[in-house]
Amino acid sequence: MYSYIFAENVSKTYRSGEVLIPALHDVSFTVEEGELCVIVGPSGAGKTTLLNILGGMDTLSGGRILLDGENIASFGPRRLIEYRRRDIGFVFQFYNLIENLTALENVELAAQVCEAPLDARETLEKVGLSHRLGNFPSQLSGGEQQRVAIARALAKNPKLLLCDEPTGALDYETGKAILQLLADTCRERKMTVIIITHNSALTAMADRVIRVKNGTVSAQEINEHPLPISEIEW
Amino acid sequence: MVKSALAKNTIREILHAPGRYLAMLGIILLGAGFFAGLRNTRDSILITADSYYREIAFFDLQLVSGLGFEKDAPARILAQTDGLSLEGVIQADAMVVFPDDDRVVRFHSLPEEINRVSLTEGRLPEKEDEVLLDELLKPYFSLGEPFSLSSLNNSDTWDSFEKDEFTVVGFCHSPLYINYERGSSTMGSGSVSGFAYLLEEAFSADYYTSLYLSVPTPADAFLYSEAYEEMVKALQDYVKPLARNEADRRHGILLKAGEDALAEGEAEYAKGMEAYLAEKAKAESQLEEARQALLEGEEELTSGEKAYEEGLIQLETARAQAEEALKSGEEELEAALKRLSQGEQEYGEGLAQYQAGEAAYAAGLAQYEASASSYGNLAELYESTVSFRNTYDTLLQSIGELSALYTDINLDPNLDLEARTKALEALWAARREKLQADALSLATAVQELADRLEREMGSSPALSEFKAMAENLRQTAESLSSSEMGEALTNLSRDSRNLLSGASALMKELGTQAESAGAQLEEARKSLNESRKQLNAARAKLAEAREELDEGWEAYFAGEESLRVAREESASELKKAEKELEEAAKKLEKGRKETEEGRAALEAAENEAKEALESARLELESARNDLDKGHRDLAALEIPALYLLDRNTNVGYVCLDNDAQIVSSVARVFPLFFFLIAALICTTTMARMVDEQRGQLGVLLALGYSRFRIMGKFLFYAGSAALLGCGIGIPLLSLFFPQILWQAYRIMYSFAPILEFSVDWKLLLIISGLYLFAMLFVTWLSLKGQFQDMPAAILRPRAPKLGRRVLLERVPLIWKRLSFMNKVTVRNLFRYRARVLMMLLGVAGCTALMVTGYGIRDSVEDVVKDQYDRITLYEYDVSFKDAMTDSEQQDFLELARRYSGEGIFVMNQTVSAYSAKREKSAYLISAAEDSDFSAFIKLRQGKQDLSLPEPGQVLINTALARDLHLKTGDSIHFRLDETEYSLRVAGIFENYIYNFLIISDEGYRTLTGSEAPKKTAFVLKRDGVTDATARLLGAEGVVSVTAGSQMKDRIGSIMENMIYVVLLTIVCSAALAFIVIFNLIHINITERMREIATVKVLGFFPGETAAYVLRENILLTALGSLLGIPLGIALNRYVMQAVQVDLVSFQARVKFPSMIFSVAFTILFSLVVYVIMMWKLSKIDMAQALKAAE
Repeated sequence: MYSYIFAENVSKTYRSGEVLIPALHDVSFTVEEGELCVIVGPSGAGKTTLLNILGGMDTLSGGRILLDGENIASFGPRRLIEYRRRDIGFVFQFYNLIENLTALENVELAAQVCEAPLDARETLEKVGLSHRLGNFPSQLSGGEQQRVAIARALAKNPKLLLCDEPTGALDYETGKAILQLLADTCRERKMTVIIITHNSALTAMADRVIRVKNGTVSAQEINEHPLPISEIEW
Repeated sequence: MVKSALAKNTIREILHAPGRYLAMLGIILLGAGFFAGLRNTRDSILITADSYYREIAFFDLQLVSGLGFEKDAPARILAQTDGLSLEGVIQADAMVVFPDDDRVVRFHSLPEEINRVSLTEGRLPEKEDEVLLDELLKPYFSLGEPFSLSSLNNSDTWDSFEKDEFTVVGFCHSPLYINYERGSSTMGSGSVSGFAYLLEEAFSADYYTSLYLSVPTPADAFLYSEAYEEMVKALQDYVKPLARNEADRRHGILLKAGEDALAEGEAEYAKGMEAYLAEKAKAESQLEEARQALLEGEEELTSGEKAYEEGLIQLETARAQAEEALKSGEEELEAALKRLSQGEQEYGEGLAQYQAGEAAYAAGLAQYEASASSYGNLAELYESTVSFRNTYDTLLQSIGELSALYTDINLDPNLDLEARTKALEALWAARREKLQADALSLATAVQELADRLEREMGSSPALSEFKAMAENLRQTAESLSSSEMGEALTNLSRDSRNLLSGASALMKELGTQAESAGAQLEEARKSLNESRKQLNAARAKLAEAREELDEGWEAYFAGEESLRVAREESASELKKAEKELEEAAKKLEKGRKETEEGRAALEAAENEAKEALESARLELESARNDLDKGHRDLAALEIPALYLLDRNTNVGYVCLDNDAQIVSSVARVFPLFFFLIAALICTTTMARMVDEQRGQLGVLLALGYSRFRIMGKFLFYAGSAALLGCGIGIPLLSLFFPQILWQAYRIMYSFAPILEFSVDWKLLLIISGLYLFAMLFVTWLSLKGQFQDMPAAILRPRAPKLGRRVLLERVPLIWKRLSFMNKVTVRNLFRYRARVLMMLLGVAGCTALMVTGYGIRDSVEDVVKDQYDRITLYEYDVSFKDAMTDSEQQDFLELARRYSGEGIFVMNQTVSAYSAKREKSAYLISAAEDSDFSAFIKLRQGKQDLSLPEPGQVLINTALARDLHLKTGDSIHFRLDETEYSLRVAGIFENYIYNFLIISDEGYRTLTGSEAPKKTAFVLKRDGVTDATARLLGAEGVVSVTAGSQMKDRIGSIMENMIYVVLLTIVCSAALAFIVIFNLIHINITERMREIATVKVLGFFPGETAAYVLRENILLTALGSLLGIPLGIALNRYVMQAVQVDLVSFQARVKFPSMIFSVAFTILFSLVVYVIMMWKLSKIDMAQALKAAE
C-alpha cells in the first residue's frame, strides 16, 4: 500500500548534556493524500515534536518517515530546507507573521521563496481578506492574522499543510471559521492537512485521527464520515 | 531560601548566555584597563628609574672647574663635610680605531661609589691596559679584542693615556648615559660614538677633570620631584665654598708648575739655536764646493759639443764633394756613352751601307753574269739558229730534190698523164714521209728554238712571227699527207722561205741584241770593278771605325768600372766618418747626462739641506712660539670658573622625564572616550536585557518578590560585570601596558629590562567606582521604567512595535524600485529607531577612536620633518661664552663659511611668557633687521612669509599663541631677567619645537634700552662635511655646538615612543570596536529570534536568512563607520590639544590613509562578526524559538 505519509518506528530523543529526554518512541502511522488528519493528545505527549519532524524543523533519532516516497530521515540540512521550502506549509498557534510587512507582503514573502507559488492576492482573497491586503498584522484581529498565516502557507502550494494548534489563540467562533477554512482547503485542493490539537472534539471533522500519548501513537482511526465543522460543538 | 534560588537564577543567567555578559565585561575591562594602564606607564617608568638611580648612586652634583681638581681634593673636601660621598673622575675624549673607520670615544675613569656601572658581559678592568666598553659598542668589538687609539689623535690626546692599546674585558651600562645619546666632542665628526671605562691609573692626568657628589636620597625626594630639586639646591649652597677652595688651590699649583717648565724650556731653546746656526754654516760650504765642480764639468761638455758640431759640418762637406765628383764622372761617362752610341749608330749605318753596297755589287755581278750568260745564251742561240740552218738546208734540199723530180716527171714527155700521176704518186709516196719528217723536225726545232728564245729573251714581234711561221710550217708539214705534192712542195717551200726570212730577221734582231748586250756587258763589267774597289775601300774604313769604336767601348767600360770603384770607396769612407761622428755624439750624450745627473743631485742635496735647515728653523720657531705662548698662557691663566651641575645637565635624565610625560599626556584625554563608549554600550546592553527579561520580571513580581529584590538580580549582573571588568582590567593592563611600552622605550633606554610593577590603587578605586556607578544607574533607570507597569502587563509579552508606513513609501518612484527585501530593511530601520541610533553611535564611536588613534600618529609623525625641513633651516646652534663684537662675529662667520655654511648672529635669551592663567617658557630671539633671518628660521603664517617685526612688535609661534590665547594684535607679556615687558603680536608663525618670541635688534634696543648681546649663532649646513661640529667647537669663544641632526634624532625618538603608545591605542580601539560591534549585532539578533525562526521555517536558505537579518546591520555598520570619520577628526583635534610635551607642540592632522584604515578595520570586524552570526543563525532551533511565548 502506497501511503502518502508513511511513518515507521519514529523515535526522537533530546540530549541535554548527559541527560536523555525521550520525546517520541515507536511512532508509526500513515496518512493518505488529501486527508484531513488530526493528531490529538494531552499536553506534552509529543504532538508538536512529531509535527516539527514532519515539517522538517527537527530531525528523527530513529525510524523513518516517507513523504510521497521520500524518506525525510535521510535528508541533509540543505535538503531539509528545500523540503520546507517547497513541500510544507506551516501554520502556527501564534501566527508568527512579520510585523513589519503588510498582510499581502507577508504572503508574498512566502511566495518569493518557492518555485511555483500561487498568486498572493488571490490566496488572500480566497481566505476572505481581500479588504485587508494593506494592513499590518498589528492592525488585524487574531482571526485575520491566522488567515493571513494560512494564506501564507497556502501560497507556497505545498504537498502538506501542518497546523500546530491553529485555533489555540482564537475564540470559539473565530476558531471554527479557521477550521472550516482548513477543511475547505483540504477538500477543494486535495491537500493533505494535518492539525494538531488537544481538543478531542475536533477529531470528528477528521478523515483520520492519530492519538498520541506518552510519546507514542496509542491509536490510529479512520473516520468514514467526518462531520462538517459547523456541526461540531465543544 | 528565597535569595539562593534567585541567586542561582542570576548565576545561571550569566553562565548560560555568556555572550552578553562577557561582551560587557570585555568592554569595561578594556575601557578601564586602558585608562589605568596608560596612566600607570609613566609611574612605572619613573619608579623603575628611581630605583635604578638609587641603586647605582647616581650623582646629585657634579663639580666642574676650568682647571680640574687635584687628586687629593675629594679627600680634603670629605674631611670637612658630613654625610656626603665624593669621588673624583677623569674624563678624556680620543679617537679610537673602529672596524671601518676611526671614531670618537669618551673615556672615563672607573668609579667606585658614585655612578656605578652595571656589567652586562665580561668583568671590570683590573689592569691599566684593560677597558670596559659601552653596550652600544658591542657590534664593533668583542671580548678580548684590542681597543686602540687612532693615529689621528694629536699628541695631547696621546699623552693623556698611559697606554695606546687596550684589551676589551667587558661591556656595561652607565648611569651617565641611560639613553642612546653620547654627546658631542671637538674631535673627529663632533659626535661621540660611545663611552669606555679605564682604571684611573690608565690616564696620565694627575688631576681630576670633575668631582661627583652624591648624598643618600631621602625616600620622598622622588625623581624629578620638587622635594628633590630643593634638596639639591641646599646641597649646592653647602658645597660651593669648599669646591671654590679646591679650584683655586689647583690654579695656584698649576701656575707654579707652569713657570718652572717655562724656565727649563727657555734654556733648551737657547742651546738648540746655537746648534742650528753651526749646522747651517757647514752645510753651506759643502754645497758651494759641489756647485763649483759641476760648473767645470759643464764647460767641458760645451766645448765637446762644439767640436762635434764642426765634425758634422765637415762630414757633410766631404759628402757633398764626393757626390759632385761622382756626379761629373757619371756625366762624362754618359757623354761618352752617347758618343759611342752615336758612333755605333753611324758605324751601323756605314756598315749597312757597305753591306748594301756589297749586296748591290753582288746583285750587279749576278746580273752581269746573268747578262753574260744570256749573252752567251744569245750567242748560243745564234749558233743554234745557225744550226737550224742546217736543218733548214736539209729540208730545202729535200724539197729541192723533190721539186726537181717533180718537175722532171711533169716534164717528161714520155709519160702520160696517168703515168705521170702514178709516178708522182709513187714519188710522193716515197718521199712524203721523209719530207714530212724533215719538215716536222724543222718545225719542231724551230719551235723549240723559238720557245727557247722566248724564254730567254722574251717575246718580240719578230719572234712571234717566227713562231707563227714555224707553226705554219708545222701545219703544212702535218697536212702533207693529205696534200698534193706540188701544193705541198709549194707550201713547204713557201713556209720554209718564210721561215728563213723570219729566221734572218730574227737573227738580225738577235745579233743586234747581242751586240748591245755585249756592250752593256762591258760597261757593267767596268762599273762593277769600280764598285768593287769602292767597296773594298769602305770595308777598310769600316774596319777602322770598328776598331776605334771597340776601343772607345773599352775605355767606356773601364771608365764605368773606375767610377763604381770610386763611388764605393767614397761611400765607405763617408760611412767611416759618420760612424766616428756617431760615437762622438754618444760620448757627448753620456757626458750631458752625467752633467744633468750631477746637477740634479746637487739640487737635491741643496733642497735637502734647505729642508733640513728649514725644519730645524721651524722647530726652533715653533719652540719659540710655544715658549712665548706658554708665557702668555701662564699670564692668562685665570682663576678658573666653577660649576656645580645638577642632574638636569645629564641628557639621559632629562630625556627620560620628557618621554615619560608623553605617555601620560596621551593618557590625559583619550581614555575618557573609551570610557564613554564603553559606558554607552554597556548601558544599552543592560537596558535591552531588562526589556528582554520582562516576562521573568513579571513572573517574579507575581510570585511576590519585592521590586528591590528583583532589581538586585539585574544590579548584580551589571555590577559584577563592572567590578570584575575593572578588577581584572586595571591591574592586568597596568601591568601589561607599561611593560609593552617599555619594550619600545628600551631601544633608547637600556638601564632596566622590565619595569617594576606598580598599581595605583587610588586610580583603580576611582575608575571602578565610575564604571560601577554608570552601570548600576542605568540598570536601575530601565528597571524603573519597566516597573511602572502593572505586573500583569509586565507578564504579557510586550506588544511588538507597530508596523507603520514609512515616509519613503510615499515616494513611489523610489519605493517601487526597491526589492522586496530592501523594503523590509527600510521599514525595519525606521521601526527600531533607538536600536538604529545605538548601532550608528556605537560603530561611529569605535571608528572615531581608531581615527583618533591614527590621527595622533599622523600629527606626531611628521613633526620632525616639518620642523627641520621647512622651518628650522639652520643646522648648528652655536653658543659663545661672551657676547661677540662685530669683528669677532665676522671672524667666526668666516670660519663657519669655510667649514660649513653661512651663519647669522642672534641674541637668544630665555624668557617666561605668561597670561592670566598660564606661564610658558620661551626663547626671545633678536636679529639684525638687515640680516637674512628667513634663511635660518622660516617664519610663515599660513601662506605668507613674515619678516622681522618693527620695534614694539613681536612674532610668536602658534603653540604659544594658542596656550596664552593670543591672536594678532594682542599684547603678550613676558619676563626677561626679572623685568616684565609686553609687546604687540604682529604675526603668528608655524613652529612645532620650542616656543619663540622674535624681534629685531632695533626692537630689542627700544625695549630694553641696551644692545642685544650676541652670544648665539646659527650656521647652515654644507653637504659632505662631516667634521663641522668639531671645527665650530674649536672656534674662538665657542662654548657649545648643537647640531640640528642631534635635535632631530632626539625628538625623532620621542616621537617614535609616542607612536608606540599610539599603536597600543589603536589596537585597543580596534579591540573595543570589535567587541562593541559584536555586542550590538548580537543583541539585534537575539531580539529578533522569533522573526528569524519564522523565516527559517518558511524555508529560507541560510544565506537568505543571514541576508534578511544582516542587511540592516551591514548598512548601519557602513554608515556608522563613515560617520565615525568626522567624529574622529574632531576628537583627534581635541586630543592633540591635550597632548603636551615640553619641547614639542603638534598640529592635529588625520591623513587620508588613516581614515581608510579605520573604516576598513570597522568593516573587517563587522564582517568577522557577521560570519560568526551567520554560524549562530544556522544553529537557531526553530522549534525552540517559535515556542518561546508558550
